[in-house]
Amino acid sequence: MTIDLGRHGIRESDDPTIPGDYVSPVTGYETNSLIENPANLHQPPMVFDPYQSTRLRGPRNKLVPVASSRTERTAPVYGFHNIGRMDNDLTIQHDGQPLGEKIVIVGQVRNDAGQPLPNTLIEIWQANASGRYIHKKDQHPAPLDPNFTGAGRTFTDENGYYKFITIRPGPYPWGNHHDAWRPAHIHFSLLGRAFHQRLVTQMYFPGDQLLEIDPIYMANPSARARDLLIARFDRRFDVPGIALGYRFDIVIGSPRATPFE
Amino acid sequence: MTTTPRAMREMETSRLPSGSQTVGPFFHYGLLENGDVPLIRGTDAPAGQRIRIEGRVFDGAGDPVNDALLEIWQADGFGQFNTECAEASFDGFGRLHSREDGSFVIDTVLPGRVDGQASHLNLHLFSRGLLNHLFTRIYFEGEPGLDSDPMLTEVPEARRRTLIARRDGSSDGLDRYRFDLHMQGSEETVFFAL
Ligand SMILES: [Fe+2]
Repeated sequence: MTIDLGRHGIRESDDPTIPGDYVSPVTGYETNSLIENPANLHQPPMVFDPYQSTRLRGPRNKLVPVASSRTERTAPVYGFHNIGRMDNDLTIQHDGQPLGEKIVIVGQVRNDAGQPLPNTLIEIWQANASGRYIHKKDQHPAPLDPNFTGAGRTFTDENGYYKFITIRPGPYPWGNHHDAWRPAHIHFSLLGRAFHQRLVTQMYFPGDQLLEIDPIYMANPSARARDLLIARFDRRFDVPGIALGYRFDIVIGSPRATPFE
Repeated sequence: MTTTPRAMREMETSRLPSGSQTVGPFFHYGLLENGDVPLIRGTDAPAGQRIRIEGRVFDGAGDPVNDALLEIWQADGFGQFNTECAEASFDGFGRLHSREDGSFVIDTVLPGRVDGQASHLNLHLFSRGLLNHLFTRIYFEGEPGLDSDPMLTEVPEARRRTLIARRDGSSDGLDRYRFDLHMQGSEETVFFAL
């Protein structure tokens, strides 16, 4: 399947001389309590005090740096039928329409050399429009939506593009601290084409007031890396009169060390 | 909020690896739609020695972690990966969630040696409270090559035992092993960075 990028297509990058007034919407959350992630200063640390669950779960020893072997450079290519059904439209999984604001998310998955990653599995899951997960352990007393499960799964096409149709999830309260709320987000999981390309992340929405007070989002010390977790409002992907479009690209890093055979 | 050309260009051309975020506590219905993904399905009988690894996941207080996700990637009994050699009855890929007592069971075959490495499973560990997922390996007590394995020998000797599953008897042609994961503490499991 090839993702239909709409009548405007995906433009080549703009002339870099175009002035932009874009300013990252987040400012400094104090990150002095962190233990640096030695692997990458654009990734969150293992322990970030404001996110309480990291205190007893993030390893305290430094990760042991290693070179990759064939086990890390390979990944499953068959057997996805085991995982679940391929379904990139979360709005048609039930008899009726889900509540909420319908959205289209299109993005490209690339490696850090800018090359697209075709045929890689992307799985998403999210809360419904009122901020409630269908998960049995979710205690938030907001209503479930009988027409929305909140899970989808697809592959990137030959140019690395994927597309999901869903609804904008609601923010929800959680127990991290008094009156803590997660900003609206969609969980993304990418299997990658090699074991070392595995990525789990979250997509956020522009203009969300909760971002700069969210300890999970703010755990990443890099303002640029945080900004790139926010989808761009992108009306090229609108379904006119039905759904608003967003663009969310994902970049997969490479191992640093030279491989051994 | 309108998206500026610069913000759009940054998204479309960035080469900065996307930031990792936690899998959170509610991944089960997203990542395990049909329940756990077993390495050996139903009556499949892939070639090799059948093994069962039983273990638990613990946090830094020694409490069981009941919302962890484990992903396994391994070679088949001949040391071949599914990518290179599609044996229909063995994908080499599994996904399991930890139970209320932090326990998990991995039923699989002992992987063959890959390029002279000691027999090993690759493991990714995900959970609430892990902003980055963790990569570790399970090696097997008594198997050849442990002293010369290129990854294991990068680990300080005193901590290597955290990566070696302990033999726990055999029955009905099944070799049993024990392997616990400690996210923190004096027994903290070794985790790798690639
Ligand atoms: Fe969430």
